[in-house]
Amino acid sequence: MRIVVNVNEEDYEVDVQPSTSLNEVLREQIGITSVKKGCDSGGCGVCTVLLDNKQIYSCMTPSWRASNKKVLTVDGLSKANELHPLQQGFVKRSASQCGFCVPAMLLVAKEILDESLDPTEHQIRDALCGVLCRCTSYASYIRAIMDVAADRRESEG
Amino acid sequence: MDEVLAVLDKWGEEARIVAGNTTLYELANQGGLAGTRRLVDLEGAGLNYIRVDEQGTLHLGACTTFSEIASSELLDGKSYFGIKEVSVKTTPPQIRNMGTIGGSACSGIPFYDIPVVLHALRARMEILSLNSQRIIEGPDFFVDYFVTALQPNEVLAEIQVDSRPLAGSSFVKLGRSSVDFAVVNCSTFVSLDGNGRRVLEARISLGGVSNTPISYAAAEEYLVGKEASEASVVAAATKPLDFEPMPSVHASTAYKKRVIPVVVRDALLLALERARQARPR
Repeated sequence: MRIVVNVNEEDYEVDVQPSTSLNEVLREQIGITSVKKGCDSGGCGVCTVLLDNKQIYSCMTPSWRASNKKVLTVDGLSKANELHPLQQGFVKRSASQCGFCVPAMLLVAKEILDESLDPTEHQIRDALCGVLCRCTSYASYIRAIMDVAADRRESEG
Repeated sequence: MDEVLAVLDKWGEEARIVAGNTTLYELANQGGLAGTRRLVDLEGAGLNYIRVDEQGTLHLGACTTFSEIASSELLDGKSYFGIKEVSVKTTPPQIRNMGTIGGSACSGIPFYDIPVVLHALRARMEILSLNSQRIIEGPDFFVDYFVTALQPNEVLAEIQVDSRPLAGSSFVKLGRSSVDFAVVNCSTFVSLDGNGRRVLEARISLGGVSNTPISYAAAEEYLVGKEASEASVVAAATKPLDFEPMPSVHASTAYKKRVIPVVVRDALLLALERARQARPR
């Protein structure tokens, strides 16, 4: 069947089977490889994307469930040549080591900042708990996200 | 919905329902969908709602996600708050956003968190097929490991839970990590007599210990009629187990026997506190 998926503000018409996952569509048909395929069973979280602004595992999401919905990957975060404030925050805090989980981490961080102006550390930990970082950079991610939230409150102050 | 029921009626065991797809995906990876020729997507079937009727009864569409229940204020202060508690405690957020209450119930997996709550709350499961409608109470819905009372041509449409005055419920889980399956989980329901001094009813359901959620009957029977106090709860939670907890990959039977009194005590204390603070229906 043919479906239309909006990825990073652009419509893509793709041909899918009932068993095709959203992850396969993004990686293999559209060519967005920032979305990883890790455990392929909803355990590691590196396949996370935002579907209509909610974090989901793209490996477990049937492609047809994304039909006529909006998918955001890390590639859609930065505008032109300017990094998203979260990306800048991660750079400032040297929050990334190997980088494999970072695309997913940035997206779950975006979801929590979209939902809350002043997230608590507990809320951030909850938001991040579905993405594994094998380098164990969690503490740096949490600090970076709290920095960005504080900067945003100050600038909107 | 009529279309869903017609497809199920025609294809029977060759059709599988897709709700949140999280369990189904893993089953498919393990070869569990061999013989499936039709996937029936419930997303557009209108089963996504949270409603409280004039009697205070909660109606949850089977495809309501954990996130939707976790962010609803309709369950606050009610005797069925345990359903919100389990939804908030469902992790990670990806699963909260994708997983549905009905799908979790229909998986029939005894260490999932939703079944034990529906068991303790004696939720009514409204089941539809092409030509009939029936209601099954929580405990009768869970038949065996991976087996529910659902027939191949049936679909769970709605979950209903009555609101009770002077009553509270709770959910507590012991897992290896916050995102892991339960080693043991527990849901309790406690109601108090008119002046709030004594326990009128106590229901204590445990998951991860048998092929389905089960009642901890010895503790339930002890608690009924006792003073509504921490001492009564602690005494109830240490009654000899009237079942043998099955071991799992991360915990032996002996370990589960050690932790059950703690989990049960914590869950009962939460339910008792909520029963005391409960609003009249």
